[in-house]
Amino acid sequence: MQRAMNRTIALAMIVRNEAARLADCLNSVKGQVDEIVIVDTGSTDHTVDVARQYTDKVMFYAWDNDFAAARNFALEQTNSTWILSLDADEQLDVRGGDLRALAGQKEKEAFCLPLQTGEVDDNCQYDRFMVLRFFRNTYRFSGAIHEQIIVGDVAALGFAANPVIRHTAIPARERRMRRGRNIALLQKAINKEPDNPFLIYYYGVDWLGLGRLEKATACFERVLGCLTDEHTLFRAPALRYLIDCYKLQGELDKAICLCLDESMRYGEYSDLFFEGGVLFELKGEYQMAVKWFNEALRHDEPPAVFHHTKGTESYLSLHHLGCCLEQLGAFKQARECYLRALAANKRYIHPLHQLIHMDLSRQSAASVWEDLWKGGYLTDSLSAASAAESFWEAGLPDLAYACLIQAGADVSAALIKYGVYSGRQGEALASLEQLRSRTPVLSVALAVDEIVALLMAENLKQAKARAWDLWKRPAGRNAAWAMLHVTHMLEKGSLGGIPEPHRQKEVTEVLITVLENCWHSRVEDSQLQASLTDIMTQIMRILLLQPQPTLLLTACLQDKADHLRQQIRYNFESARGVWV
Amino acid sequence: MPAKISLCMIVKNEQQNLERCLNSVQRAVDEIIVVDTGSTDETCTIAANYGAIVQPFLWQEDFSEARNASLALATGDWILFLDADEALAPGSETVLRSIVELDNDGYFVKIINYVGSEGWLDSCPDLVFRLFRNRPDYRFRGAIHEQIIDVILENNSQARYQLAEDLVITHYGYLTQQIMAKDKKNRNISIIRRELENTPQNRLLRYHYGVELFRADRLTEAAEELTKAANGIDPGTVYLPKLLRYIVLACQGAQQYEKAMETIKLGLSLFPHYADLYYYGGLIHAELRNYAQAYELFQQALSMPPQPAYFAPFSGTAGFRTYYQLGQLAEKFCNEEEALRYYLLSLRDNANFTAALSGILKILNPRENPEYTRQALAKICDFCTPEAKLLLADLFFFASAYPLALEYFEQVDLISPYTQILKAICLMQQRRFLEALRILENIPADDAQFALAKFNKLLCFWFEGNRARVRAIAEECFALGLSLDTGAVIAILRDSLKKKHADPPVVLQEEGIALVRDVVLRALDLGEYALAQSLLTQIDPDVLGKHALDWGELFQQYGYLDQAEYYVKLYLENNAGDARAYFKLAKIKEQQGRKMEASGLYRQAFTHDPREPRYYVKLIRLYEDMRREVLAEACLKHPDVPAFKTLLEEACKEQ
Repeated sequence: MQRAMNRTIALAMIVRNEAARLADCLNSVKGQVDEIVIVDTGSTDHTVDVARQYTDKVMFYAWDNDFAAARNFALEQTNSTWILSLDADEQLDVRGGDLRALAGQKEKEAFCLPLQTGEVDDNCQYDRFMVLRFFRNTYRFSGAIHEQIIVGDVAALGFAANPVIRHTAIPARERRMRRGRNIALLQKAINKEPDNPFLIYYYGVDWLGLGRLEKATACFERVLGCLTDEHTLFRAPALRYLIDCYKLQGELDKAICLCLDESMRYGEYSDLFFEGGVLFELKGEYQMAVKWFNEALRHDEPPAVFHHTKGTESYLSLHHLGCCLEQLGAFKQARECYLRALAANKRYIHPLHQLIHMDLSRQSAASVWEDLWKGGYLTDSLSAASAAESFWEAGLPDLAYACLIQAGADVSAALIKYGVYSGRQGEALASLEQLRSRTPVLSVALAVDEIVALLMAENLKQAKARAWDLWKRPAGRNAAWAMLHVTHMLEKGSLGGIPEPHRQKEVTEVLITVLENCWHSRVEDSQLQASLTDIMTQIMRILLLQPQPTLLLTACLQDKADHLRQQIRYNFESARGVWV
Repeated sequence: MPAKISLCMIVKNEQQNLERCLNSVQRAVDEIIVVDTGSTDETCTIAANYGAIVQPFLWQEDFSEARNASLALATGDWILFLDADEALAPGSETVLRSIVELDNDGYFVKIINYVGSEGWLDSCPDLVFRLFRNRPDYRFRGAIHEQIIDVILENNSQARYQLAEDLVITHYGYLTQQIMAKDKKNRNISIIRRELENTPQNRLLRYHYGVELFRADRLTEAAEELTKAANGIDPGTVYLPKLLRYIVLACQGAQQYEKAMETIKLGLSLFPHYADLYYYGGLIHAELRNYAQAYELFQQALSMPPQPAYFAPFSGTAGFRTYYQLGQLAEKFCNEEEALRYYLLSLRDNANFTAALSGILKILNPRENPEYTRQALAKICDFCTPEAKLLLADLFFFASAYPLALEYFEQVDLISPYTQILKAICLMQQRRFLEALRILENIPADDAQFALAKFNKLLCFWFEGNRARVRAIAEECFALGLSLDTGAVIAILRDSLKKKHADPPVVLQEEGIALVRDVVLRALDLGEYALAQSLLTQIDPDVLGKHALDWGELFQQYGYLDQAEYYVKLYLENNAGDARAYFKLAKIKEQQGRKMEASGLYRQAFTHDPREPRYYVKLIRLYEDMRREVLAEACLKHPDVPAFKTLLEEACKEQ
């Protein structure tokens, strides 16, 4: 294929035991690169087989604790003019622009691309780092660990907004293992180059990841002291990590001082003002927090070299600003902030949750729901589902149900649960049949809800039959035991025995869950209400049979009382000391 | 030579008041000038008896003109100006004589307004400019709220005036005529408005205009005018604290809460120790059900130092009034112990503050705990005067504690016909019908309470099921020419004994319902459940349903829980979403021992109205109760597990 101006692009990677992730990565670069070079450093799974489906340039390299060496070996195998360097847990997102456009820029030698970590899907919460991953095939890596491409001429280094590299979260255990390994390598490297701030930076990142805050703090304090504005790429994240470190160690004042100092240097950095706001919020100094969040909101997204958490210039600050205003008793303004946050990013649902929580403490539940509906917040399925969840938690399953119905949501476990506990057991049972026709095996929790619905409808025979169905599934035995005994009690009025010791814990859990759900119910019909009360009474009788379940029951009652105490505090004390 | 003092007054038909006034000044002034604007009673004679120079004057809707006419006749060095319904407080003459020797041009003196409301005296001090040098250029100005201080200052910017707090005028006017006829108020308002049109810059006049509007209940306009009067005012203006308070009151009344709070905030920045502002701020927050803020402001009100006279403080804002409000707040959170504590503090600060006493009684519940109430009250104070005994008897009566009420009525000798009827009712509620009848029959036919006596006579026989007598007295009642509603109730009472339903069912208005409510309560108090029911079944179901919450409340009070439940549910059928009804039903369920259902209903209550703390508190207590029950049962079932015993003991201790 003819490549204009000989601008060809190679993906070069080093991998080990990445069979699970590699395909996603390689699929994401389809059509973006002209060649793929994959260097395996000793996989014991079928990584190599996966790699071979995408390229025939799969090589082996004997791992010698030197990342740069391994990567440079990969680079040696390429024939293209530009290199894209990715890890297997990353993917390239070219929806906003592709690599070819960058490769066309004659004056540039290399590009930093945005790396997004966090909840990667759509527009939710993520952090943006700029990383140098796209460069002309004349550069080579240096550094055994946290190997870098170093571009001497600053003007030749570009910062691209697109394409974006997305980082998928890897399991915690694996991440810890990698960190441990990195730290060992870094330690070695630092011994050789004790004053290399980049090494110290990475050292800090790994210590922070492992939760060793004192060590991480020391690293970032050093990095911050010796890096200048030339290295904002590193200095900015180091600053934010240091704030995190102080915050996690409870040294809020120290963190605040740091924010204050650095705000002189980075007057446009929304993240910094956001952090400051959060710190004051944590301290309970809401008026100060309001000032900082407002400052964060005055700025746009910071320039690309700044490590940035999406939304600090907008919905994140708005959400926190709302929380602070609520604490100050300025409910109207708080409400406005939540609505603005939702308008800025409707996929960021926390403000919706908070809004519902706040409104429920100030007006009748029915009017809260109506306001949401009129405001158009129940039209898309994500916000409807999250609003529904909020209503359910507040003990309003009928309104939760209405949210989902309003949004035209499909039959789901949540819809059925809300239906059952709001006394719509007829609809719920019909939905269950519909669900069963699609997926013959229902989840255990859903099966339990179905039995509760049947009990409410006083259809004991069917309830028992469903419980026996559940019994046939090994995972459903304990739930089946619990529901069979509740049914027995309702039918015969007498106790059917106590669960075998090995079952006791799980059976108790099921019973408490059903009891809690019943306590979340809201049923107008007095007949149904009476059925529910019966179910609850019988569950309590079963729990009372044995000491341990009895203790759990008393704890459950205690929780309910404590929860209400909190609610009183929230409802009636939020605006203390606001004025004068 | 000592300075000579002239008392100047304008009067019209003041024979009731004038003596009191002139008696009080006899030794204090050297000359009395009375300008009469057309008395038709003995006013002029009385004045002449005191040696006053009496000058008739043709009233021209201008107070200043009349006042200035009196000044023109004065020959003294100083003028003291009084209204006929005012008097100098004892001991004032010495102060008066001494301050007129000082090098001042005038004095603000303290005036104590006696305000009578709901049977107790309340005093409200203020400052007025009533003592000034007699100079021809010092003349009143303004058709109403005639003022002289600003005239003095205009003519003599060097004029020195001071506060003479020890010179006290007492004002009795508000006692009898506080509630001025509405048309008179509006007439005043239009006079001031005309004047204001001529002098729109006159701040003081605008202030008075606003106050008049406020008194006439034209609150929105009042708030507007008062705000105009306050904008750009010199913070040293002597009436500014009062002005601010009026703005707050007007805004509060007009439900402009935010503006009221803004004004309070501003006022406190100028007068940080102004207890009234904290007090009214607290009231507003309580009204908005922001209880934490209300609590804080009341606490601040209590911490205020003694208030200077120019604040014209409302009595008790740094004391009994605020304590009372804190008691109310505590009750909102079902904290009766704390409420009692505050009511006692309130009563200790002002023994005449009956609101606090009735707060205490409500908590003690004298109907159910008469002996305990008696003992508790004995510890609080002696009710030894007849007035106090009568007051207590009244309070017991309206708390349906009839035996206690009777006890106190019997300790008072001379009682009015109305009180005698109350006493008779107390006797009836103990089935001492003959004694009751004796009292009722002694109420003379020309007495205003005759119909009430007759009605109760009828009830005596109704309670006894004496159809013939009831019928006969009913006829006598009808002959008195009663209101439609009362007549209807009497007819129901008559018919209810026939065990026959009224056909068609009777439609009653509010008045009739209130009467029925009273009769039902007394029937239940006597244990006559069937009689109460027979009465209610005669009433139109729609009317009955509208007031079903009341019936529920009554039946609950007397322990007829099923009937109470029936009525509250009936109410809910037509008023879905009424939090109070859910709350009531929850309490009934709890009393029935149906705790699980009660918990759901308490939740319903705060779902519909999240701003009532008692809904949550009751549910918390219910959960704790359930927990204790579970633990108690566990102790029986599992005596081998000591943890339950410990937990139960802890739980009971917390209770």
